[in-house]
Amino acid sequence: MNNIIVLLVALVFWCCEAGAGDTPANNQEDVAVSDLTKLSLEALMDIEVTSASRKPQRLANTAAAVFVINQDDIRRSGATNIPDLLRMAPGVQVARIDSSKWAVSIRGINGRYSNKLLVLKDGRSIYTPLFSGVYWETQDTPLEDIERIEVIRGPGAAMWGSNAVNGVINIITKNASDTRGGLASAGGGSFERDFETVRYGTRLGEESDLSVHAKHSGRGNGLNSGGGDAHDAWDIFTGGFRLDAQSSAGDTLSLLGSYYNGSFNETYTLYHLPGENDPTYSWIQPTTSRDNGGNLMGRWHRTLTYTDSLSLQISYDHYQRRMIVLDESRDTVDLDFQHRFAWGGRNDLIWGAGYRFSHDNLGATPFISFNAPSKGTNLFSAFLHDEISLVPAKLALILGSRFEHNDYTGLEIQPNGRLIWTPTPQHTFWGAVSRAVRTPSRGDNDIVYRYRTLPPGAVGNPLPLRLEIDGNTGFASETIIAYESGYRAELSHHITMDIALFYNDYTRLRVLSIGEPSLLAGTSISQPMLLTNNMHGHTYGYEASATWSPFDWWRLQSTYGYLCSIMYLDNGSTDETNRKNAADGTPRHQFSLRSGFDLGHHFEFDIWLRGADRVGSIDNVSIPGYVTTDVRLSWKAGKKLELSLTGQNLLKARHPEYIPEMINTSPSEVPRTLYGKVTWKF
Amino acid sequence: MSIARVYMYRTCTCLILLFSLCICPGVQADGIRPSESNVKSAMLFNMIKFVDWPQGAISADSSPITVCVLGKGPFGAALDALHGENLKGRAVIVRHINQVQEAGNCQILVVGDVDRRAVTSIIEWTRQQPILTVSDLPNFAQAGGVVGFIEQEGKIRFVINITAAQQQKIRINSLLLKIARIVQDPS
Repeated sequence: MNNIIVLLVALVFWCCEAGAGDTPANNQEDVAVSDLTKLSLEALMDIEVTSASRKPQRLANTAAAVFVINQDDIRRSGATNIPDLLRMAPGVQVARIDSSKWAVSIRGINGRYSNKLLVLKDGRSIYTPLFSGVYWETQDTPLEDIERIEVIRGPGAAMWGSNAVNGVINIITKNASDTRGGLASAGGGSFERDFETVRYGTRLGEESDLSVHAKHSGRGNGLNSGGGDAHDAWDIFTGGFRLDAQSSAGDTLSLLGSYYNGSFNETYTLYHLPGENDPTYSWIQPTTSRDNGGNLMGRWHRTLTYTDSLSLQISYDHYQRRMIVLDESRDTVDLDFQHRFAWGGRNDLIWGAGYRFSHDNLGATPFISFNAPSKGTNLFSAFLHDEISLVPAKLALILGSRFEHNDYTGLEIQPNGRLIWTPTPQHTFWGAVSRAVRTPSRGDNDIVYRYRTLPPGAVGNPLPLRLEIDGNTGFASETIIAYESGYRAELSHHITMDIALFYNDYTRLRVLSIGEPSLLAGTSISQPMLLTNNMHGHTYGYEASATWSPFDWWRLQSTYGYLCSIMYLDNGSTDETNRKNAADGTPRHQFSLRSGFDLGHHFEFDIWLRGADRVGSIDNVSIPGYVTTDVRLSWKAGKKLELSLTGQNLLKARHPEYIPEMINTSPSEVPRTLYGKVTWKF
Repeated sequence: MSIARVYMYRTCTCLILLFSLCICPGVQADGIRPSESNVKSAMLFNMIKFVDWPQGAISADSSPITVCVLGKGPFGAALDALHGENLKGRAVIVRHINQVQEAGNCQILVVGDVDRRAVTSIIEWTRQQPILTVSDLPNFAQAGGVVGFIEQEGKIRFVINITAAQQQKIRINSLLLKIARIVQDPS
């Protein structure tokens, strides 16, 4: 096999070398300024241009490990959902559990209920205070509407707030003025059963635009490890709008709203105590769960001078989920204010304040209940961030901290310090030390989860043993102190690279501690397991990414991530399962290699090769590593119509990526898929 | 899946890869698109015809128009192509400067990629000067610059701050204002 690879690489280079001469001015396809000056201004305004991406320029000024997925990456990836897009970014662990569930984390400690990540959509937090994680299956924004996704590895809490422990994902949708006209797309295939999007954008006046969209997606049942029907189909309808207006005085106003209504099949293994007519301890229950919700957000921004601006953002979100194990409904109001200004010639300051109120109703089931079925929680926050220019345009020091007050643990202080050195505009070095916390979730405090029932004799128990996971009102915040550094370079117009190193020191991580057993009606034993902060540990690793455009028509992007995670139990905790989840529940090595060709004659051809190392232990199950490939071929028939054919996970009929921890739903494997798509602009 | 099938798929993938690589160099990209920087440079060149500087800011009818470039970036670099061009009998001179204080004799100041704080001081410095400030930095015109270039749906547009133009005594022909997006200072 190695010989074949060597031969292949040699052939590739030979082909390109041999062919390169045929392409006129292969790297500099452009139109000379002197030719363009002959055109009128109106004609120039009508020319479509290629963007000499300002992205590296902007990134060069960031003292953090940032990776940006732009609209072109999104379109050419062939991905149909946001978690799959995140697989492009180095240091992000994405593993599919079934048709509607993903485990997504940054720099480790992954899981279906991973909770050390802050995910924002247009600046609005979309994590649920129930478990501090994200319901990815409800985030079905039309991918055509996304302008870019910024993935920031490492703590971002000083700026963004709690839960930005291991990273921040910022999904930014297009301004309504960038989606004028109509767009209709539809497609379907073997597993991505069908998906349809309609979008229409129009000018409302001189300076305002409205864009509305509707989307439906349906994914079929997958296969489980035995090849049987996994009963995990997913179906969702999403609708939304965005209004953007600007005044001539430098104010911008945005109003965004969306609504979704979905259903997803799940197969639970549920436990109970044996009854007179039913001697079993567990049964398998296929169900259909439902979720729906909506949100409304308004944002006002005023530009005062180039360095001074004000912004105010208000949002309301409502959702409800009906599952066999839990009924959840939640309302959240969020208020956020920011002021940015320059001070004393050297300081670029941002300060802000915010308030969030979240109220839930949690309907009890025989499996999960909450100590208070309904609760409202308050979060107050304020932050200050100062970028101090030490040597203008070369060396800057960034100091900042966020101060938050939550109902569970009171005041939390999350500071950071960063240093950025740009000896030349092409080279950037940065380093950072930060502290961040993952504040307790509603689940950590109040859950009562009748997790499993073991038959007599299983662990030496004389009677049936019911294991119960109990929330802990004394649960403290999980804490990280992170040390990071990085180097970014634009080696030439065609080559960029980025390396980031990190060492994360965690304390007070969540595990289970065995409580006092009690006898239930003389026929069974209840064994409580309390959520406690009895684990500490550290992770370290690095990520590297590089892009290379050898020709205008060929772009390569590669990423690699290495992660090592070591965890220790404290205070006599014996919860090896959760320790191993944190230590071994994430692949050590991950890589991605994407190649995008413009074949000419309006054809594009993309290949995406990626892989991950094995997952050592997730609830004591290990999952083998994998290497897989996606391929996409598209053809633009004129300016209005695009046809594409995408094959995903082509190397194997199916492969497992993850299993869910805690909640016992059956996982399915990631299948080979083939789908076609038509996009029409009008 | 059998081993044979695994190899079959691998071979297919390799072949597809190889095939696509070999045909690439032979085919041409679809219609050449100009870069945004070149289009902006050409637009700036054409705009000059619609701009009048006050008496004293530019001497005789035949004296050159000096375009000063502050900061790096592709737009500033593309402007070099305008150096030596002729516009209604005036030569265009493109000069790269290191600080705004050197812009005293420039009719046009193009601000490239500079520190955010520097932009504010540049705008303050040019506030009372008859200099047409131009940049493709975001929100440049809103923040007090005279002309800001923006990209919208893959095309280049420009924003003109008429308050800034008036303060700096630069007269802009209404034909140009008609096709520009207009902003005014809040005051």
